[in-house]
Formats: sequence, structure tokens, C-alpha cells
Amino acid sequence: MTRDMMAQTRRGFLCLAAALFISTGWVQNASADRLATAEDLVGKLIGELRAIDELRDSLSATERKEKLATIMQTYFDVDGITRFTAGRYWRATSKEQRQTYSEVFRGILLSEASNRFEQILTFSFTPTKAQARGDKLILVTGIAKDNSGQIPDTEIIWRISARAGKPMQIIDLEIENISMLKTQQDENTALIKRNGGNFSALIEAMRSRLDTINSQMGN
Amino acid sequence: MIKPDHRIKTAMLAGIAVFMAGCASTPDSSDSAARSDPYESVNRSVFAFNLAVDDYALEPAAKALRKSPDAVQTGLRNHVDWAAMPKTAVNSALQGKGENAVIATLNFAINSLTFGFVDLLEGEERPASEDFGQTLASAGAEEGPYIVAPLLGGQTTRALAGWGVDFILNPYGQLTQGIPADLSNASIPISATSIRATYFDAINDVKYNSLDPYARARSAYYQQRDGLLRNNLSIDETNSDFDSFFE
Repeated sequence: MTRDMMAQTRRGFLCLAAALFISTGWVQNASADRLATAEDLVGKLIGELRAIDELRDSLSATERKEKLATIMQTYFDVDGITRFTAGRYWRATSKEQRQTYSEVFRGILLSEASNRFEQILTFSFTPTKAQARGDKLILVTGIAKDNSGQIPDTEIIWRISARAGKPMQIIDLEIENISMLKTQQDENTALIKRNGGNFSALIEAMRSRLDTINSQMGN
Repeated sequence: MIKPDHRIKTAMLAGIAVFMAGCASTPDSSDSAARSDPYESVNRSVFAFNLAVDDYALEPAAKALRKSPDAVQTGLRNHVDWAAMPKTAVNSALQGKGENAVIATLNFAINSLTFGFVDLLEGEERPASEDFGQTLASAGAEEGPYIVAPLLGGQTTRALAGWGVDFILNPYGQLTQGIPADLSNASIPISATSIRATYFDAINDVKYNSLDPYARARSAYYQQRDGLLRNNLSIDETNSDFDSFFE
């Protein structure tokens, strides 16, 4: 091998090493950016909830509900949550049943949003770490401190959908190892199973629950 | 002082519980809704009984406790935590978690000065709670079916076996005469009321806002229990339940 060829080979290796170094750094930066975006999403949600809470006296019940519904649609993957909570029965249901279930489930989700968000606001959240699980899911873990001091510090995890080309959205909140999403899915599938696999039984139970909530809220 | 008959009773209880864990079957799935619940019908009846007890005794008592001064509530909470330290220390040691065992032992010894009502180690590292059910799990004992016991609530037979052994390790389990005996008799309702008051809203949420409180309580139990047992699992293993979300 001539001296020129050796120099060329060495230059080639150096270029390759530089390219690898740069691309690895870029991937790491992109990954860190995704984690930071997920953490920001949780921070922004809590900030918006606090802003609405501060307007408590100046907002009517309807205005408050509308604002919370907007937050729910913006920050949460409502479609994905609806589908997931039906469990394995989702695939076996008719288009009409899916439509009806989605409407009733969303109704409950939005009606209960006020209570759920108020519970969240009784805690102050300090993120401790964000981790990616594959390329679609990010977990933002942190410590929730009960502002009233009644409940000991608790670890909570926000699960965030981070699919390429779609905005990040929250899919779940896990408190002390208990996932709200998984619990709802287990409850729903247990109810269907008890009724011999009849998906309509779940829809009816949810409709009844929604009526109760609405009557309690005076709607 | 320990009465001989008390020892015999607790040993029998532990023996029966361990036997039940040994006879337990393997769960058929990681899905908590589909996990082993062969006695669901009976379990639901006992669950209804437990809910009635909660309606008439525990919830009103917890509501009253929540109206008491913060110092009273914190003191009771601290005391309940303190009484659980011996079981954490022993079970940590049995599982080879030496550091946790030492922290629990020190915590118990130091806070014994206040009988646990004042946490003299506030702000210091807390030991992770360990029970004999977890020790049995780490030894490879099978989980067993889900059983709802009167007053004790729902748990797997393995965890129920653990409860029997942990009962012996509770300092109250060793007090059987005079004033301490009265304290011993009162310890279970006091602990139950304190825990009910601490998680008042969360428990009421299950009780009043569920389509199926039994299924919700069972799901929450399995998830919390799995969380305690999965300390060393990776993020992939602990989040596989959510894979279907993206299908």
C-alpha cells in the first residue's frame, strides 16, 4: 500500500468516526429533547389547571367545565384511552357499539375531569426523571407532595404517548403503582366478562353512571 | 409477656397460612382481571360484607379522625408505620436486603422512645416496606388465588399466608396482659381507621364512583402488589401492559 493510499484510508476512518460521533450526539440530543418535551407537557398541564383553579370564583360552572374539557382534549389522548379501556373486547365490537361507547365514556371522562383535576391540584409535583420506553412511550416520574400534609410523599408516573409525527399526549397517571388506565380497563373488562361477554352491558352501566353524575351535578 | 396459648394460636395461624400458600395455583395471566379468582362469587359476598362494615364503622370513624388535629392524625400514622418496622426488618433480612433491614431496625429502635407516635427520624431515609408475602414470593412460592377475607380485604393466598406470619412480628402481637393487652386489642381497629383516613378519598372513589367496586379493588390490589415485587424489573418488563395501546 502506498503512502497516499494509507493517508486516504486514514482520512476515511477519521471522517467515518467523526460522522458516527456527530450522529450519535444528534440522536442523544434528539432523545433528550423528547424527554424534556414530555416533562414540559406535564408542567404545562399542571400550570393550566392552577390557572383555572385561581379563576374559580369568576368562572361559571359551565365555563369551568368547557375549559377543563379543552384541557382534556389538548393534553390527553382521549381516543386512545377510550379504545384501551375496552380491552380486548374493542376489536370484537360493532362500529355502532364503538361509537356509542366512545360517546358515553367521553361523557364520563369529561364530567369527572373536574374532580380528578382538583385531586391533582392538592399535590405539588416535582419531576425526578423521564425515561423512554421504545419510540412511542415516555414515562415522567416524580414525587407528589400532598399540600395538606395528610398523605405521605408519593411516587407518581405520567405515561405519555410520543408517537412520531403526532403531538405528545398523556395516556395515564400511575399513583403508588396503580395505573388509572389499567384499573379502568380491568374494571370494564371484568364487567363485560360477568355479563357473558356482552359489550352492551358495559355501555348500559356507563350510561347509568353518567346519568347519576349528571343528576348529582344538576345537569 | 407472651402467653403460651397465644403463641400456639399465632403459630397455627401462620402454619395454616403457609399451607394455603403452598397449595396455591399459578396465575394464568398477568392481566389482573383474568388472574386466578376461582372463588369470585364467595369473594364478592365477603366484599359486600366488608363494604357494610366500612359503611357503618370504618368510614364514620375515619371521617371523625380527619376532623381531629393534624398532630393526632400524624401521630397515629407514625405509630402505624412504626409498628410495621419489625416485619420489614425481619423480611428484608430474609430476602437478603441487608441495608433495608438495618434502616428498619434503627427506625424501630429509635422511634420506640416515643412508642412510634413521634417520628424522631423525620426526613431521614425510610425503609421500603417488606412483608412475609414478599419473602415467600422471592423464595419462589406461587401466588395462589385471590381471596377476600372478612375485615382483612382481598389478597392472594400467598399474601394472606404472609399476613399470618407478620402478625407475630407486630409488637402488639407480643403484648397480652394488662394495659398493653388493651392496646393490643385496639391496635387493629386503630390501624385500620388511620389507614382509612389517610386514603379516605381514594377509597371512597373506589366505593362510590366505580361501575364495579370489587373489580376495581382487585385490579388495584394486584397492581400495587406487583409493584412491590418488581423492584428489579426493567422499564420494558413493567410497561408491557401498555403495548396494546399503540396497536
